[in-house]
Amino acid sequence: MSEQSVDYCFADGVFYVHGLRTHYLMDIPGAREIKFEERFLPHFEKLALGWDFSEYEAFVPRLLEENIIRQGAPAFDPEIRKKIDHSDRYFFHDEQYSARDKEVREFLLRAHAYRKRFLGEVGQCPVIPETGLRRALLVGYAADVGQKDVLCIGDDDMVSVALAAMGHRVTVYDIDPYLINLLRTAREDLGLDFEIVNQDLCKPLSGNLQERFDVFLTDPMSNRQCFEIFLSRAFALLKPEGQGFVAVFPPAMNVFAELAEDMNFEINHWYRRFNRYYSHLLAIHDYESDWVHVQKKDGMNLRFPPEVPIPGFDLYREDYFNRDSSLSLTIEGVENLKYAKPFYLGLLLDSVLAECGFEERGRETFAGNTYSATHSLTDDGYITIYSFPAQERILVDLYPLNSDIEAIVRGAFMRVFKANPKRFRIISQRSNWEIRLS
Amino acid sequence: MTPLETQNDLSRSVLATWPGFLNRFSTQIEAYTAQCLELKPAPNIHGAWPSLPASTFLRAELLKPYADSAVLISDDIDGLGMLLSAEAQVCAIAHDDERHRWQEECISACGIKNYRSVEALPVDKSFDLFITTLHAPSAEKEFLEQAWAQLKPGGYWAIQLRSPWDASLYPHLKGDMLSVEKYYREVNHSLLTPFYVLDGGGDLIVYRKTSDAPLGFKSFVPGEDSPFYSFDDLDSLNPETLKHDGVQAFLDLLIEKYSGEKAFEHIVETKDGLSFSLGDAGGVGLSGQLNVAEEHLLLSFLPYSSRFEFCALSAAIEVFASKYTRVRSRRTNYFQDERIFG
Repeated sequence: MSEQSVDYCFADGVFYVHGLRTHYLMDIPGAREIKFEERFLPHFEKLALGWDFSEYEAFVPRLLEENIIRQGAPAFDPEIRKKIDHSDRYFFHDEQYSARDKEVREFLLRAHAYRKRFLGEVGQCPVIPETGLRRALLVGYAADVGQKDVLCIGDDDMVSVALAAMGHRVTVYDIDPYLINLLRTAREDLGLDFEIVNQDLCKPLSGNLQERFDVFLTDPMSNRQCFEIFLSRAFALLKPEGQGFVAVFPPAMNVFAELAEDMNFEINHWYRRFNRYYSHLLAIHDYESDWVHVQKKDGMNLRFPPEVPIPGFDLYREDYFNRDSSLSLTIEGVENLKYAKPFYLGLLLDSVLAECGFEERGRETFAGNTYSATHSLTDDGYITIYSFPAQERILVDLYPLNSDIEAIVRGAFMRVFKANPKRFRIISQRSNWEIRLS
Repeated sequence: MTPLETQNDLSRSVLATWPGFLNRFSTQIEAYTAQCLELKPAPNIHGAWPSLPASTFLRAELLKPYADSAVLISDDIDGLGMLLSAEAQVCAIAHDDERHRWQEECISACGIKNYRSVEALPVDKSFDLFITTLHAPSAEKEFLEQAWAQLKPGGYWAIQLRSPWDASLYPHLKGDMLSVEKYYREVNHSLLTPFYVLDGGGDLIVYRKTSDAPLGFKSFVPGEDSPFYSFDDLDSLNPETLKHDGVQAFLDLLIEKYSGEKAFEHIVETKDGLSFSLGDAGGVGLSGQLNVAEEHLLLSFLPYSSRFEFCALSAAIEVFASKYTRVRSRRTNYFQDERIFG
C-alpha cells in the first residue's frame, strides 16, 4: 500500500481507531481494545499502511508476540471480512438478489476487509456491503442502463468498487490519504478500473471536469453547510439533467428540502432509512440515513461557484437536535411502603431537587386509589414519580440526565425503597438510561 | 396525493431495502394496497400495530414457505393471515368481538375462503405454522403453551416483535425444543395514520419446533418480562402547533384514542417550550418535553403500555406533524444473546 519499505503491518483482525476524542487498537480475535498514548498515533498511521519500524525496531518482538503486528504488507483481512459479513447478514437476504448482485457484494466485502484504520474525526462511518450494493443497484448495471460516468464524492463506503464492478466509469474524490490508498489497493486486488482523486472540496474545481458526470453519490454530514458545499461541487460536475444520490439523516429532512428549494434542484424520490452503517467495532451502527434521489435543473443556484475556494467551516457536525439523555428508574419489591405515599414522596423529591441544584418551576401531585403520581418541572426538564403501593412498585422518569444526577436520584431512592436489591440491571442506549432494581 | 398514491409512494420508499421483493411484486403490492384502503381500519389495538399493506405483503411472502396446510394466527390486525389463506387453511384468533366482526366483514368483502375467525384456540386442531405478535411471552403463558402443544413436530412459530420487547423475549426462548430458522430484521412497518409510516420496523423471527417437549415458560415477572419504560423522539414538528393549546389537544386526543379516563394532567411552560405529564386511570402514563426552537418532542412512557404508545404516537402525528416530521426509529437491540448495535 505504500512505497516505503514494508516489513510489518497490523495482524489479522487488528486495526486502528482514531475517533474524535479517543484512539486505540481494536483486536477482534483477542476481543480487546488496546489504548495507547497520543504520541504513537503517527506510528500506527504508518503501520496501517505498512511500516519497516525504522528507529523503533525494539518494539517488534513484543508486538509480534502479542499478535498485534505480523510480517508483510497489508492485505485482505479474513477476520475483518468475517465480522463484517456477520453484521451484513442481519440485512442481506440471498433470495433478494441475483447471482451477479451476490458477486458484487463479494467485491464489496473483500474491499472493506482491507480497512485497517477508522477515522472518526472526518465523519467516516462506512455503510455495510448490503447497502453499498443497493446504492449501486439504483444506478444499475452498465449492461442494462448503459455505461455511466459516476462520481463518488467521499467514498469511505467504497461504493465505487460496486459501481466499477457493474461496468461504469467511476471517479472518486476523497480527502483522506489512507482511504485513497485503501481504494487503490482494493482496485488492484479486485482487478477493477476506476479513478481516485485526492480532492479537497473546499478548493476550486478544475474546469475540464465540470459537467462531466452522469451520476453522483455522496454521504455528507447532515448539516446545511456540508450539504451546500458537497452539492455545489457535485452539481457543478454533473451534466445537465444529471442525477445524484445524497444520504440525509432523517431529522435533517427539512433542512435538505429547504436547500432543494433554495438551490433549485429536483427531489425525484426519497428512500427512507435506506443506508445502514457499521461501526469501528464492525457491528451495526445505530446511525442510519435516508437516500435521496436528486436531479439537476436549469437555473440552479449553486451556493459556491466551482472556480471559487470555499472558506473553512466546521463540516463534521450534525445539524439537528441532539437531545440529552433521559433516565428511567424502576424499583420493585419496595421496602418501607409507608414512604411510598405522595406526602413522603414529595419530601424525597424536595431533597433530590436540592441536591441536584434544580429550581422547581411547578409541581402537580395526583393521589388516586391505585397509584399516585408527582410531576415536577425544573428549568431544563422534569422528574415524574409514580407509586403503586399494591404492586410495591416505584417508577421514576427524569430528563435531562447527567452522571451526577443519576447518582443522586438512584442513591436517594435506593436508600429509602431498596437498600439491597437482588437484581440490578442497567440498559443503556444512546439517549436513555434504564435502571431496574428488584 | 390520494391515500393510495401516498401509500404506494411510502411502499417504494421504505421497502427499497427489499429490492428483489419490490421488483417481483410491484403490481400485486399496489393492488393489495388499494384493496386494504377500501376496507374499514381494524378496530381495537392489542399487541400488534397496524402496518403498511406492502409490509404485510412482504411478511406473507416470507412466511409462505412455512405455511403448508394449517396456520394459526393470533391478533391478525393487518391481514397477514388473510394473505396466507391463499396457501393454507388459516385460523385467526380475535381478541374481542369487534375485531371478530371486522375480520368477518373483511373476508366477506374480499371473498376469502380459507380463513376462519375464532375467539379462542380450537383445541382439537394441529397447525404447521403459528404466528404471534409477542410482548412478554410469560404474560400469555397458558395460551402459548397450549398453541405450542398444537403445533406439529417440525412446525414453525413465527414471532413478530418490536422494541422495547426484545430484551424480555429471548431469555424465554432457549432450550432444545426450538431453533431459529430465519430472522428478518425491520420488516414490520407500522402505520400510525393512513398517511404516516413509522420509522424503524419490527422484526420477524421464525422458530422451528424441534421437540415435542412442552414449552414450560417461567412465570411472569413484572418489570423484567414487561418493561415499564419506553420513549420516542419526534423531529421537525409543525411550529404552529407547538403551544399550550396544541399540547392540550394532543393529550385529549390521546385519551380519546386510548378510550381511557384521564386521572391527571399537568402542562407547564419552560424556558425551552412546554413540559407535560398525563396519567390514565388504568395506571399508564407519559411525560413529554416539547422544545419549541428545535421543533422536537420527547415522549417518555412510564408506566409503559404498547397500546398507549401507539395511541400517543398517532395523536402526536395528527396534532403536531409537519410535512417533514419523523419519529426517530426504535430498533430492536437484541437477537437472542447478541447485541445488534455496537
